[in-house]
Amino acid sequence: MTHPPPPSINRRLGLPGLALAALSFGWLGSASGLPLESGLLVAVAALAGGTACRFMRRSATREISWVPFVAGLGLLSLLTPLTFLAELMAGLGGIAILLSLADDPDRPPGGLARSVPTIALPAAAVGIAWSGGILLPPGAAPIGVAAASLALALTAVAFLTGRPDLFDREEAPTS
Amino acid sequence: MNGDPGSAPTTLLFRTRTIGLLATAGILLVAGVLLRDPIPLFVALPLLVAPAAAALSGPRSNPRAELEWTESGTGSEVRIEGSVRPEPIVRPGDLVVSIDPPGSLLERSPPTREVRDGALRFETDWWAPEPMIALVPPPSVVWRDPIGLVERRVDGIEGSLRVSRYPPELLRLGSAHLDRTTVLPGETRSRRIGSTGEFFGIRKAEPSDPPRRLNWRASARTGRLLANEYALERTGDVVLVLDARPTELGSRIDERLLAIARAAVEGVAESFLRSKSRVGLAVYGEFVDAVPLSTGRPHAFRIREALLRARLADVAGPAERCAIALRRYFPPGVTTIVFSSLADESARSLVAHVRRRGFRVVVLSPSPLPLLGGRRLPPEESGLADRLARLQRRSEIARVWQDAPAIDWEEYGSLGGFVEFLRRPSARRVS
Repeated sequence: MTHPPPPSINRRLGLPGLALAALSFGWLGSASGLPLESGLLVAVAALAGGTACRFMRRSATREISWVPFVAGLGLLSLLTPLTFLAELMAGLGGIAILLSLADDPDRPPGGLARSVPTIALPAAAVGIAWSGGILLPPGAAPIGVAAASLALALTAVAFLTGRPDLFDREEAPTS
Repeated sequence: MNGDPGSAPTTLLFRTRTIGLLATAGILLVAGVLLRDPIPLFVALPLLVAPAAAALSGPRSNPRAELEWTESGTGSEVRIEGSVRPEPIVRPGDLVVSIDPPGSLLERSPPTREVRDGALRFETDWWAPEPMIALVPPPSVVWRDPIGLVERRVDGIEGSLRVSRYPPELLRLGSAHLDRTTVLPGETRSRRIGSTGEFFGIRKAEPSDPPRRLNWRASARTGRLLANEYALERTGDVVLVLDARPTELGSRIDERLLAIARAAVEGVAESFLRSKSRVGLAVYGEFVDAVPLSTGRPHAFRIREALLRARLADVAGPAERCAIALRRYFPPGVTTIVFSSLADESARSLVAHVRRRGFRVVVLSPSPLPLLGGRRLPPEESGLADRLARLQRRSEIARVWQDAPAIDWEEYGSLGGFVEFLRRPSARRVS
């Protein structure tokens, strides 16, 4: 009995997502308020932990490979001083996690290509938010307003997508 | 409960990872607002938007797909190959197929999946450690977005697959002589044209004909290959009695022995039905569930269904009840094969009762000894315990021989001894 070969190392690594995450995490680690070694250590630990999970035999462990990524990125984002580049790198870090999830070695190949339309929307949201951050005047109030608006909009979207019947069009009556 | 697939709920399901990502994003959102730091917000933003984007990227209601699957493999190997072809709006790569082996089968390696020709193809690698019959339920198929955040159930995946494995020697059993060969009024003798029996005629040879079946003289005369045909008249009947009563061995062992016996019953029934004999089945738990004597493909299906229905009874019915019920369904004098573990006195007395009611009984007894290997004893004591268990088993089988010939079936992968025994009528006489 011949079986297809197991997923390649590249698929296990999730190279596109890992590369983007390495760029983002590395930059945030080096620019964080922590000493350079500590910041980079956090970044490397997050990347190594997430990647190691993808190589595990147990599917339940592979399923949570996003946890070290998100934990490391969240920590670094809280410790990094505010700059425009830091904002961009934080957004790219989030996109990298989604890319890593899309390149699932347990599913048929081509997940990354299939996920482009799905990831385009969060990427566009990050782009709009980042360009808004550059163009809008600085201050604390806009952040709160933006966060509240964002949460409200996302709640509405989540509600609407959870009720697909609200989207469905009624069929035209036949004569 | 509405069985109409069109009325199934079209729920979008969020997976555990989605909840985790949303929770993390929420924490970052709160932290960003409290610390007046927009950087965590930038991390949270794609994580918050992604589930909504994933939901919007898929079908608005449960998609439909067609399942085609077959079972193959030889010996203990069980391979299930199939394909799930979704409707055009769904990409096959976005489908997730989960298929688990039924209890009597073991998984050797995880199933493989690949996208080919617009369908998601899957293949399992299972094996059957013992003879078995089972229904494999249809696989669970869901549409899942490429990031793996949301999913929808796929409708239209229906139909179970039957898998059976029994010793291959049973295929030769159809040529065994059956005791009852007298035609009753109204019965018609069935005739089988094939490779055994009396000479029937000559026909054009086929590539599958073995050399000894070719009629060389006739072939030499005509200048082309001709083969002999033989006619076999079969009027013998066989009744298969499956003892599904609980014994002292406990439900776990009883269940396994019943599963092994069910597989053997199916093999014996198929073999005799192939030779156009009439076959009847009685499953005895607390009461008798009988399939009357008949032949043909529909009857094979009836027997299969009855065997798949057969479960270990909660309460053991008395042996005499089975014997009385058998007389209601089947005429006396029929060759009757009793499948029983003979593990306790009640099981052994069943043979005597059935014989006293006029049936010619042969017993095939799946031995519980190979299933009782979990003793935690030192090697020398374990060896002694095994020998004692074998002696006891032999003595129990010998006691059954006083009523009917009994075959101890210890090597589950082979039934050569049983087949040879049935094919030699003289060996079946009990003094």
